[in-house]
Amino acid sequence: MKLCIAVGTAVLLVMALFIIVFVAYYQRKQVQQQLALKELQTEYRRKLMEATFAGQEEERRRFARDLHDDIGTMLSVTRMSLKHLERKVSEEVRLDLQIQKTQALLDETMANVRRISRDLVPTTLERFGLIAALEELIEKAAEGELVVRLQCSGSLDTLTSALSLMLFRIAQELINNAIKHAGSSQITVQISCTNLAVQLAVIDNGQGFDLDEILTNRQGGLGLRNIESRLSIVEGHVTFDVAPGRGSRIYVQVLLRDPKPLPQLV
Amino acid sequence: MWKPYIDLVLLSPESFVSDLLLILGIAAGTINYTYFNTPIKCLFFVLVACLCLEGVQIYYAAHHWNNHFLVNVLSLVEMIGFAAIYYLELTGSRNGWLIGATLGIYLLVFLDAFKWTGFAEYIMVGERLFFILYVVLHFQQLLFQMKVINLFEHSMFWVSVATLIYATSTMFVFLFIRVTLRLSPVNEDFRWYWGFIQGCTAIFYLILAFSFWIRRREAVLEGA
Repeated sequence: MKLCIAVGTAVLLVMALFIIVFVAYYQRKQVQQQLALKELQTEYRRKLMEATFAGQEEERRRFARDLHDDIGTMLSVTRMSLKHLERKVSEEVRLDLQIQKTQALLDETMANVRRISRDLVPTTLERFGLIAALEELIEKAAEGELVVRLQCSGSLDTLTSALSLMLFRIAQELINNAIKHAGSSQITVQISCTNLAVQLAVIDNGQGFDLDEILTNRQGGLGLRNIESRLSIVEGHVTFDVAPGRGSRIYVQVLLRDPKPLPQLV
Repeated sequence: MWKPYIDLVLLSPESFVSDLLLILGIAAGTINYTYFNTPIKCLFFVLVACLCLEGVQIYYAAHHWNNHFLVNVLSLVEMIGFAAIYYLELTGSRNGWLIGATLGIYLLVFLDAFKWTGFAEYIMVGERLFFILYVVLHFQQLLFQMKVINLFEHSMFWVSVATLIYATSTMFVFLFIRVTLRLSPVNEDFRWYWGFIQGCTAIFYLILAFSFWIRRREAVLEGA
């Protein structure tokens, strides 16, 4: 009987220990699988974001090309045809005036088409690089009493075209926000690049904003969320030094050490 | 005044090892009490109740009074305590119902099988069977919910480990109580079985004491 009890107890104990080990092992394996799945999901989301931005840029490019090549050409042809008509009916003063008005309207439309086309695809960025594109952006932004400055340090030649485009879009968004929403009169854009990272800062003296309020509001804050989405593709992050009633300082940093490859957009 | 107690210790020193570890567990619980969640707090109070009952048992034993019924009452306290701990820990109405039903069955068995002058095997075996069931339910929850990343740093996992080892190791001795613990206390076999139970109980309290420290670490990590 003593042996039976000893064997029974030993069997039960071994079973208990087996259950404990099994639970610990199985749970660890499940956790590892979950972590791997999570990593895959993150990678998938990152790829999806990349594809979305690449698609967006491609669509802009196509739209700009269509505007420039098709509508722009058609407008030029229409203008020439109108000029031709003007010569034929120049004897009638009232008609002549009407034609001149139409010509002016056409000129304005053509200028708008060219501007929209240029805004859609920053051709200066593709041809002359990030600094030139930022200078052009600042030149366009500075109107009236608004002062926009650009400060650069370090060479930006090593940046890939995709990364340059990303930084340009972020700068564009931040400058736009500083002018439209913050009502700033002074904006400073700083960009610096080292072997390890590229840093972009946009500093303004506007009225500032409540970051939490903006980010919790589903209707607003799209631009800021867009910046975060763009930076999630690369090893980048954005820091907001903002508060209502004072100027904003927004810092963007992208690590260049072993950067994740970006799809070639240009 | 102390002579009966000293005689008792000299007569059966193995009986006091588990009591010392129970005190160690309560000390660990007192030190780490602020870090406890509700189920671990409940466990702490169960241990305090166990210590009180052990004290009364020693008092009775020192005066050569019958204290068998106190062992049965201790089983009742443990059963209610552990049912409460797992009721608080386990989620889902099914688990709640199961714990309630097992506690109900146990109380019925307790009322029927309770003895004043001997160990009640049905009470002991029933308690251990239900403990095993609670642990299985807890493990099942851990595996299905996957909320815990590292089980070894989860205090309730260690509570379940202790409970499972305690329940499985002592079940057979109580199941065959007629040939194990109903012998004369001076019998060699009785002393061996009694020592074995005390050893298992000591391990049980030791792991519970360890779980209190784990809970402290867990709470610190949760707060971080």
